[in-house]
Amino acid sequence: MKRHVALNVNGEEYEIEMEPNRLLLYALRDDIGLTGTKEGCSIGVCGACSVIVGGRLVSSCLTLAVACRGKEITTIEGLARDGRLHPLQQAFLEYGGFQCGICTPGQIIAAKALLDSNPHPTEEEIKEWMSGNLCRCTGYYKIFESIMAVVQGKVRVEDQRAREHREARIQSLGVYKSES
Amino acid sequence: MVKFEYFEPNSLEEACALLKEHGEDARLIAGGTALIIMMRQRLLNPRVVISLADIPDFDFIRFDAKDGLRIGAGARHRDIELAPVVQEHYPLLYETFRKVAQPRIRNMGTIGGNLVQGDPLTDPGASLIALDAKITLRNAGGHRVIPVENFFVDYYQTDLQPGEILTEIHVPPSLPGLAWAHIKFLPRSQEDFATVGVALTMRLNGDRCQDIRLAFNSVAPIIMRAKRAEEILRRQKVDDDRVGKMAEVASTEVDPMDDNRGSAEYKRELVRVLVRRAVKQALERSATGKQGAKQASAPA
Amino acid sequence: MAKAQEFSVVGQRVVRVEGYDKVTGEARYVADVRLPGMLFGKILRSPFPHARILNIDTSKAEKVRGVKAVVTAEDTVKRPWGAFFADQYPLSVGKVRYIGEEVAAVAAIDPDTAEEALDLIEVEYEELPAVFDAEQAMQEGAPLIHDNKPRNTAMTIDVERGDIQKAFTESDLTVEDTFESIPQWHCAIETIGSVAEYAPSGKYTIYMNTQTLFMARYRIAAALGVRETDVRVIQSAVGGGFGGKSCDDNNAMVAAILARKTGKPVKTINSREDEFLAGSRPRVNMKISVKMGFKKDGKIRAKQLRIIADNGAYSGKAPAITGVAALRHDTCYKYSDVKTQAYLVYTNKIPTGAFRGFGNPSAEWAVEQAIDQAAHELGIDPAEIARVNAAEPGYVSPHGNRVTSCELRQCIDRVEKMMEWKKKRAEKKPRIGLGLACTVHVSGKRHFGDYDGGSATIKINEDGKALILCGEGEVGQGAATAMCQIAAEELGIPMEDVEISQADTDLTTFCLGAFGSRVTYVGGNAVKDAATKAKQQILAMASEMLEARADDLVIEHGKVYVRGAEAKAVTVADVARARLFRRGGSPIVASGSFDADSVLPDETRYGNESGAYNFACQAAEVGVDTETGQVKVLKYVAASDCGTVINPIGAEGQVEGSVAQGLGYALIEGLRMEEGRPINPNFSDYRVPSMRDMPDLAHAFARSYEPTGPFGAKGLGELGMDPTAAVISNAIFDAVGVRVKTLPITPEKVLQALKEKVK
Repeated sequence: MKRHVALNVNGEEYEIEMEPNRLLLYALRDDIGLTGTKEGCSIGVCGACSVIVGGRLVSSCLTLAVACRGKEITTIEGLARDGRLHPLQQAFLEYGGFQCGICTPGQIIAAKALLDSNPHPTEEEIKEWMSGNLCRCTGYYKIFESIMAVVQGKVRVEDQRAREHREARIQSLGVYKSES
Repeated sequence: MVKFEYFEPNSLEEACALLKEHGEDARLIAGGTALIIMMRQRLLNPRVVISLADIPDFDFIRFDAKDGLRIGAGARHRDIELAPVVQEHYPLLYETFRKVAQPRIRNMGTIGGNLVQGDPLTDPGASLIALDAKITLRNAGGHRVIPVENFFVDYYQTDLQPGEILTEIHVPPSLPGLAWAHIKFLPRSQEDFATVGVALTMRLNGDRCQDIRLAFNSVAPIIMRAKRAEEILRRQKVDDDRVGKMAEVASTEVDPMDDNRGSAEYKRELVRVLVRRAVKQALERSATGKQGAKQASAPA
Repeated sequence: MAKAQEFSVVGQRVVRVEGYDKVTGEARYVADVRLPGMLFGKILRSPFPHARILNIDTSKAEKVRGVKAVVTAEDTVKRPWGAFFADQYPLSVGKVRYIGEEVAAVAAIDPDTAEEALDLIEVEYEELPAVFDAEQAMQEGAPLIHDNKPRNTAMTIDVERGDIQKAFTESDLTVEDTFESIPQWHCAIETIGSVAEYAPSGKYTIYMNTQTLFMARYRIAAALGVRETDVRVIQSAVGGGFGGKSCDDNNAMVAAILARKTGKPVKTINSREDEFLAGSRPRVNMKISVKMGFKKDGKIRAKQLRIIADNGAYSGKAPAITGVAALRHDTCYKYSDVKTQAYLVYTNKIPTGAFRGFGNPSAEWAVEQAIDQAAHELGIDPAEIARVNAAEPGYVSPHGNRVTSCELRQCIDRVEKMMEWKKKRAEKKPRIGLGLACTVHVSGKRHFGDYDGGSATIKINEDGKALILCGEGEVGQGAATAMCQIAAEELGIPMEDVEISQADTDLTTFCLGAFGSRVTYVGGNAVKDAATKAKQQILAMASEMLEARADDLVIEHGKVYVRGAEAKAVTVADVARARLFRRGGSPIVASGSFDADSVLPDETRYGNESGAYNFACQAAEVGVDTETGQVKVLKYVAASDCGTVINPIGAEGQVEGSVAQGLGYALIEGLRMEEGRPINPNFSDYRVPSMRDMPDLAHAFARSYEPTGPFGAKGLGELGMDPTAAVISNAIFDAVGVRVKTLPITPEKVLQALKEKVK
């Protein structure tokens, strides 16, 4: 029987009518429209569907949405704030920690969960933790480097609004003005 | 996945009552890591799912020097791994739980859920057997306590009776200086189920083995204790010859099957090798841990 | 030789053009596509490896609430299709030939309903005898899988160059052995999927995660019995391809058939199990017998191969793959006398197909071990035997492949250095060993008719930004970024002023797509050609504006000026606007194309398959646990000759990812098959390497310049995966003196080999 479930995702409340068998993965992707969380293996192995629920990293493909009521849910869409990428996002960009990108939201969310609880993990701790997130493109070297870059404070988060300024400047270069 | 009615009882009594009411149609859910997979694959199609998430204090981890360690069935693998009392008093459990799957699954899966699933490939059961742990099973009428080693009946079958809920795991007081080893042999990816899992505890008195418990996962339809093998070493001097013999007996006692991780024959071979390595590790640990060595040599 | 330093954008570590979307979760993959009224398709698959379909009753399934259509072969034109041989149907016609084959499909309002309906489709089968082993399938009297293919043989290759008998007679040492490889699944984290729409006008629009849009369009049109332009393929973001998404499967066809029948958009996304059973076509497994003759100094004198390749039930790319396995390696070293016989054989299993390396990893798994064996028997350092035989610029293989740039020796040198090869060999420790192997790969391959070209269009927008319209597509390998760099370099504008379109068969011109390590080389050359032509238009206009000869103008950082008079400059944006906003104005737009200077192999397979050849050498140091057989890779090194490195971040990533897949192939991957059924087709039982499994890796790129490549670049994508399995096996042999001759090298096999050695 359908019921109303309120989910708090990335700080926003969503009231969704769902069957109790609705998986968190599908609630996020199909009911809320946050498609950054991906489905890879459907059995909790690959980590593409990783999200943080109540401070814990979980597989949303094996989690009932109804069991997440009242808990803070963080997905990849919740990381960038005020035009700034999360340092991990910035690091993955700069250090090439992705190729096809399908596992990337899960990798970044997993890395965030690690650094939230352990801001200075050892190399071994990173490898052990991240081994739950499969990637078929990178061989993991650049994912590892990206995370290490954040751990070592090498990443400067750029204000993405600078981009808008540049575009605005281009827009004001002339021709449209003379036409009007 | 089949549609189901979903209950979230607030007490064990209520959960037991629901279980009694719905009988075979009902399934309990805790971490969900195993149940959801089976439901998604339509191997299980329960009409009723009873969540244990709202039962208060169902995930406790408590230690008392006299009583030992008590773990609520709802405790997650990750919490057991990180519990200071586990790390301090039960290094074997710490070593075992930190190797289960990966942190994300350890964050989800509960110890109770793991045991009732009866999956012979999983790690915790063997170490709990090696530590002579017991479990409490409750139903609407009362409860019973049985050793973990008697709980596993057959492939994915346990002694859990209809209407019962596994509520608690009890590990006896830790013996200081207990020699122990845990080997999870992963020949493919480090991110895999064990091809062979070995858990060993030994009480030593000098070079003699006062008592021993040897358990395996992934080498039989059940997580099993190798009692015949233990007898080779129990109350005997620990030397290469006897350890070799014990390993040999253990390799005949297990009942592995061919799968993607190796042939039955190979797994037997590994049991021979890994039992010897486990004893070696346990002895080394016992010799290097000063206090452990001292206590172990004290009269039992 | 031009150097990377001469370039301003090429050779820079640039951030991926689609990177922002990928790290924020905004990138739109096919599973993320939602269209109004969209239905969900599910496919009923054959439970039998070989059976006649006597009857299909869909009536019960059709009655399920929410089911909008059930389709079978009766809803199709029953016309076979295939990359090289048209032998498969979108939905089984009369017979099924492997477990997983598409028999019927359902479109419903949600995936659960579709699945429920699948259970209600009643299919009556008559089971037929099946055959699962390629060698058995070739025998007289084996069950016949396709009526028109006697002895189940899809294709035979029999080529001899020189005088093989004489060459063996003249050899000082002959080594001979047989090696078997396995099917390896791509295991892209994203499965194959499609969203198909059908307009009453007769046009299909299909969003799909394909690597090869135009080839997909061609095959889909053939399967549906329509013209190519009746099908529009739009590439979504692609979550990993590796050859598996080059449209040799039926996912998109089924989505299109359902869309036509329902008149609604239909989404079909493979489950992980679908993907293992009938999705991406796994690597062609081969049994390769190799016999090689050597002179005392290690020079190769003769090589003979006999290959039996397992096609599976239908031919995708396996015919071309078998050809590569048979002949390609003869371009790696200097060969004179070679003979190769290869048989591609049907079996009742999932069709095999393209996977990074395309026949090379299987062949090199055999040949590079034979060479290593010879090195040991001749007492020559394996690095040395590679060096004395290595191809060099100007080498023409016995089959006509013409090597232009080649820095294989440099690769061997760099591998030796990175591995501390000589020092470690001198201080050999028990149970630790070193192994090495080399490879050659192509930069595009002339095999789809006499064309190995590409095309692109560049338009300069009135704000000065260039937009590349190109149909090669981005599958995660970084092609889009490399193309933008090439365009920026040629146009003289900053990287951030270049964009690239989504690949779309209606909007971009014909491209073969991402396979054969061709996109940077072929597509890059096409983009460069378009940029050159656009630049001419910029210069012509700027010459009017600056009142200077076009020849005297320079474009740099988006500004056009007279050489030596930088102060008086106009921006590319100024030029674009000036050209457009005037009487009779026109936008700056140019189309470029490139067709490699290669030669389509003739019926004897003599030709020159590619415009440029890429080379690599890799080495490993391994430790072997002789009690359990477990192999640990202690260090891995890879040196690659891919010409100019366009984007080091991307190039390093290609090598790193290739090595990971190569190590998976060597040591971990593989699925047990019983009677044609993969046992446990999931990520729990089919393991791919995880972060913890990766060894210490060092890599290097040779200083190299390919004269026919864009800014000196050639292919790289597959190079890193080709030799890896042989490298590992050679290192194990060095460590403990045994060779495991079937993949993967499991500890169990190592242990078994060690026991046999003792006997």
